[in-house]
Amino acid sequence: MARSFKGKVAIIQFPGVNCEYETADAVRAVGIEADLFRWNEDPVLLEETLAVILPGGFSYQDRIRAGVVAAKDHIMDKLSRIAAQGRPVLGICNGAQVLVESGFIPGIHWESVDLALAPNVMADRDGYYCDWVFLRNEDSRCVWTGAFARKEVVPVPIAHAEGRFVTGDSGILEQMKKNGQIALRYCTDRGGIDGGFPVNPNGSVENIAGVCNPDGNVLAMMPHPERASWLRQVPEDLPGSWGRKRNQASGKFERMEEPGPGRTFFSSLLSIAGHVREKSGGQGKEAGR
Amino acid sequence: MLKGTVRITGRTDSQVLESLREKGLNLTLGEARRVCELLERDPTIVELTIFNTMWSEHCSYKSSRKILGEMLPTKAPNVVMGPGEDAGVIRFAETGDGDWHCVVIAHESHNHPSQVLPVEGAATGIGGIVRDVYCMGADVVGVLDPLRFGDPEGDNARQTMAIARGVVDGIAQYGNALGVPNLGGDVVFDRGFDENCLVNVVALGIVKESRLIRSRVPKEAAEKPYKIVLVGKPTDDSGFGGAAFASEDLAGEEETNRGAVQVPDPFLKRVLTVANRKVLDLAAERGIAIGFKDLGAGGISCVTSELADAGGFGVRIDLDMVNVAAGHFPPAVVACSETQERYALAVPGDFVDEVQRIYNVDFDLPHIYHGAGAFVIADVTVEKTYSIVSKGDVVCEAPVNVITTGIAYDRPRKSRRIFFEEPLLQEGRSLHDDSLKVLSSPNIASKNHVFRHYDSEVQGRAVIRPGEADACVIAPLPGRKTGLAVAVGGIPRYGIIDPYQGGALAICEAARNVAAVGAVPSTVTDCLNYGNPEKEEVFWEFYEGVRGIGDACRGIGLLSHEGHPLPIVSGNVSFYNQGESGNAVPPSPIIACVGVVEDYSKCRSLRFKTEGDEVYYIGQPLDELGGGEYYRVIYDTLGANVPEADFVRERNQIRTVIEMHGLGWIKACHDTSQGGLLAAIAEMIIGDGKQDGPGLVLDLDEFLPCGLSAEKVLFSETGGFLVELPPGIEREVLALCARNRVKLYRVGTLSTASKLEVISGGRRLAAWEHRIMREAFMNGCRNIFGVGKGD
Amino acid sequence: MKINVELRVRLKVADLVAQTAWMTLTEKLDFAGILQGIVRYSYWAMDADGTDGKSILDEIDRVVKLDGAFTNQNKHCYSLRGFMRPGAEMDSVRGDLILDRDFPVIAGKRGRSAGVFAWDLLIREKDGGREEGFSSRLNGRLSGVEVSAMKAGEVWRVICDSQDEKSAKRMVERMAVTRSRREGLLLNPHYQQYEFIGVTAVGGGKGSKA
Repeated sequence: MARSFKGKVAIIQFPGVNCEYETADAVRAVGIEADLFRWNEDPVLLEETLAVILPGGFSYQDRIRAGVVAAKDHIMDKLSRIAAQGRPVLGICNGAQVLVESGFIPGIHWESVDLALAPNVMADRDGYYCDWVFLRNEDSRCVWTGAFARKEVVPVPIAHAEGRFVTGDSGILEQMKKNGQIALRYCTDRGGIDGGFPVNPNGSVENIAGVCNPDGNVLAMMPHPERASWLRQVPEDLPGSWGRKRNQASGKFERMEEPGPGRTFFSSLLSIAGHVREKSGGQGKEAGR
Repeated sequence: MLKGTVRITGRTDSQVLESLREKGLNLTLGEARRVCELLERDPTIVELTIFNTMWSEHCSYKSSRKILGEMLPTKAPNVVMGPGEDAGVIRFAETGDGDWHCVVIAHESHNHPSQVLPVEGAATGIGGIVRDVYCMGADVVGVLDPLRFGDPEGDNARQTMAIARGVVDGIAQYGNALGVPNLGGDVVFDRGFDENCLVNVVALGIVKESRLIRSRVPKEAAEKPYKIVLVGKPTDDSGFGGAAFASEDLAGEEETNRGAVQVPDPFLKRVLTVANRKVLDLAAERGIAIGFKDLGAGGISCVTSELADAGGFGVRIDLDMVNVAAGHFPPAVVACSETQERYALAVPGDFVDEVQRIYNVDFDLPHIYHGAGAFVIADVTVEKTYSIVSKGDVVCEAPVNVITTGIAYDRPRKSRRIFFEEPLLQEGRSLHDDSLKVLSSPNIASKNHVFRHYDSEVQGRAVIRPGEADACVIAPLPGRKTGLAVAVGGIPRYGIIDPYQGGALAICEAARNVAAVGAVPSTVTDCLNYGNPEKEEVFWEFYEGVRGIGDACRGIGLLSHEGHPLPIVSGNVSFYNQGESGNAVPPSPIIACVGVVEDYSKCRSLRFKTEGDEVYYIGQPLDELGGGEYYRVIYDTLGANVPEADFVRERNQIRTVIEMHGLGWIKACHDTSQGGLLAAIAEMIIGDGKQDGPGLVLDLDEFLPCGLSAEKVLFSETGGFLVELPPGIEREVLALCARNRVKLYRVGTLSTASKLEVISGGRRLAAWEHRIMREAFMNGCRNIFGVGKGD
Repeated sequence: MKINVELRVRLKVADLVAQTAWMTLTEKLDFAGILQGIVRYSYWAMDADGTDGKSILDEIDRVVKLDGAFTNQNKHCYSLRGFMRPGAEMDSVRGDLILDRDFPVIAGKRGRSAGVFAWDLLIREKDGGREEGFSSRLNGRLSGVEVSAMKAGEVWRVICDSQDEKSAKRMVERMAVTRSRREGLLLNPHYQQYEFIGVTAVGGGKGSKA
């Protein structure tokens, strides 16, 4: 029985990633099929994939630099073509680090490494940091944030040691802004942009949390939307409207199982899934199962 | 005569001893002679090395086994598997099709290695404990770390802080990379740990009862040939002697222990975990019976003999088939090395190729780690003989039950007599300032700097995270209400005054912690950390601690099954926790408690929620500040009046809180123990520091019936609960408490004022703005774990 | 007097990071046959002020042996060297790592090569915030010696088969500086900087200090 990714989201399982299962669950929760693709499988399998997600974790244990070893893997040749065709590609956390080290992001010069995700710079601590942060949906062409309201505030957890977007080339930053590539910024629970820790949890330039390519189909984001895809995952004491919503759902199991703030990243795919299904003449119907 | 035979019979005691020491073996003279009796001949060096490991304290429980067996309840209706295998198993929730979701739990120490190499020691601790749970066929859903460090302001502050940071770093490096969420634990500082830290690790897993895998060769091996497949890292000598190492005093010169510490590799472990899952799923799908066990202390020899013996088979190992790292290792080292990240499977011969393909081709282990892979190293035999062949020579041959036979000692014990004294309380002290000192004490203050270093979100199951309440809660079954709560307990200073209470109170505290989120305490594990058991007073401390644990388990009982004890399903004994000075660590039984939550959506954080709600205290503050934080911080003394565990009271209080949760009354709940009532209230105002709760006026007149001074009411460490309940149900609350025969005090009404006030006789004793309390509480551990790092 | 001090620390156990670099450079990037070996060190260099060279080194040696932030002798070996002025080594060296013999060649192809050169490449973060911390940490523990101008980073000793020293250097630069998906591995120039701090001819050719 040959495996097929037709109409499905392929979750790329590099050795050492560890968020592949819950990322697949988060995709399935919006009604799109998802399956794991092991890094050394035949890339031909991905021929008709609906979208690709590079999940979080520690590919190759972050050796040398987070994401860089996976970026040199042969499977990236295939992903490069998929991304260049305009199919949606999402890198979450370690996946974002892979996309940056592959030069898919910012992708102004395709495959040229124009950014870095550098070690966190934080007040009073260093290294790995895991906490909930707030993101603001910025005006961008990104397909993965398409279902959010303009400037919507989205609480999502982060968990990383190297997540500080930085570039040595200020021209690149200007171009990214001009192209509408800054998809997500860290903000306060009310949407204010404050550069200090912990609002900006890693010292990222201009509070950048997520960057898309100029076409908007590839997104590299450090926070983990799959960990905020159900209301039950939101901490009860989180400030802001989602925290209040979570608080009010206490004791009501059915409400706790409702979507969380991160779900929208995945449901943004639905419009694409519909689009692809139309284009392929209804063959992608099973995608919704 | 077998190759490599060591002459023992006919030689003098001193000759034998000299020979043992020269070979780096820790066996006693008597033990060496016992080996000859069992084998009915002189042993080979390989055999001696095997017994050296198998009879170490770590593997054999030779000092503790008898007492544990006599004192601890291990059976209850919810227990699927008690102590004996790598981890314990309890039933958790029905699947709906006749099966059960089970919780698998294991608890161990990695104390000595963490003292020597904090990062690697702590990381390897996580690596070892998760293997114990994985090898039952379970998915690991969380780890916890109870940690005990020296005094960060004491004589050994620099080393203490370096060790504390290294340990936290090691836990983070391993657990975060493996993708297992951290579900908290606790951190306690005391000068008794200046020379020897305690690093305990707990791992929890979930598996269906029908998919549990046993650590034994399955009975099907009588019908068709079975092989033993060794999978993982190539065997080296890096951990050689590790098991024996845990049975010795920690020598002052760390040099002597080099090479005994293992090198952890969470990356390889993650890939192994994913590959194991494929193999186990495939076996289940095809209905193939397999055995599965991880390699820990004793390495290949331990795993193969136990797999074979448990199934009633023998095994013939060819050491030349073992994948070894570069270097030259004698057969005894290959057979007993503690190299990390290895498992052994017992699989039918006709399944071997597929198993090897999954590991070696699909998951490409040889490229993930140089020399790693899955290799067939042994044949299972119906004849119950354990034999090892190396380069064509038989280097070990004995009935398999001789290899696994244990050894046990009846250690003498003698109670120690130390006179403890209550401090004379000083008049006119500032309650305001003293309270802030207690709040900022590293034992009370927020462990945020530690917890934020760990990934608690991975797997997406978190409901209550470390620091949000007394226990962590996860929702491990997709779409199901059932939640899993877990917490630890064990305050070393109680055990110094009274080792019996130290054990009993550790159980009470752990059970209270899970009850505080509404979970029914359903099983506990114990890790018993003590000094040298050959010292009579140390062994007495151990005995008393175990007695306290056993009494508490029976006294609190299993609330879901009347008339049954709270069962202990897994645990570990760690002796010889002492430093150069010879002083043992404070008696430290550390308990982890698993609670079952009927509906996770009712689990609340401990932060006060709503103005106008009523705050009650369930319990009875007594003059029990001994071993507590107030005496430590303000009077630098232990005191004498350690809390006395009252199991009936604990049981009734726990039942009451769980019932209140079930009724949906509880908006916030927190147990009172370390730091007493005042610290607990402050913590409920601050929460995890993200958002302050409402304010409160605490009227001590309510507590007049206790007959205690203000300090004693506020800092008593008698166990109880603080609960926030909605207004207007006072009558029902009183009725419930009366029915359960628990004492109830009304503490106050939550207000919009951003401060906590304590009044007595209409007079204000002290008041704190939220901001002041938050700063004290949130920053108390910053010097220890933050950057800048108190140099 | 003031001397320049360099501390290098290397793992005694297998360095999995260096092994991964080796595998990535030889199997995924096209350096098989060119790359002969690769070693990784933690690196600190600083000015140190004290009474004389020997006592300065002795004091720093005492501190780094005790402080786990620099070395833990259960897993590391180290080399501590003093220089009167840049490039001029003193005759006293401390530690159990002998740098001028630390050239593990993994893949040997020496027969055909013009030379094998080992370049030492120092990589540091551009906004070296941590270097300050190391200085104050050391100064808090040293007595009679004060350190300043701390440089901290990682040194990769990259052993290359090449025509000459210069082309070996170009080769190492190509292995190191990540410009695109197919070019470079060891550093990302957007937050890291690099400098060559030494070269040794391991076989054939002729080496000199950079």
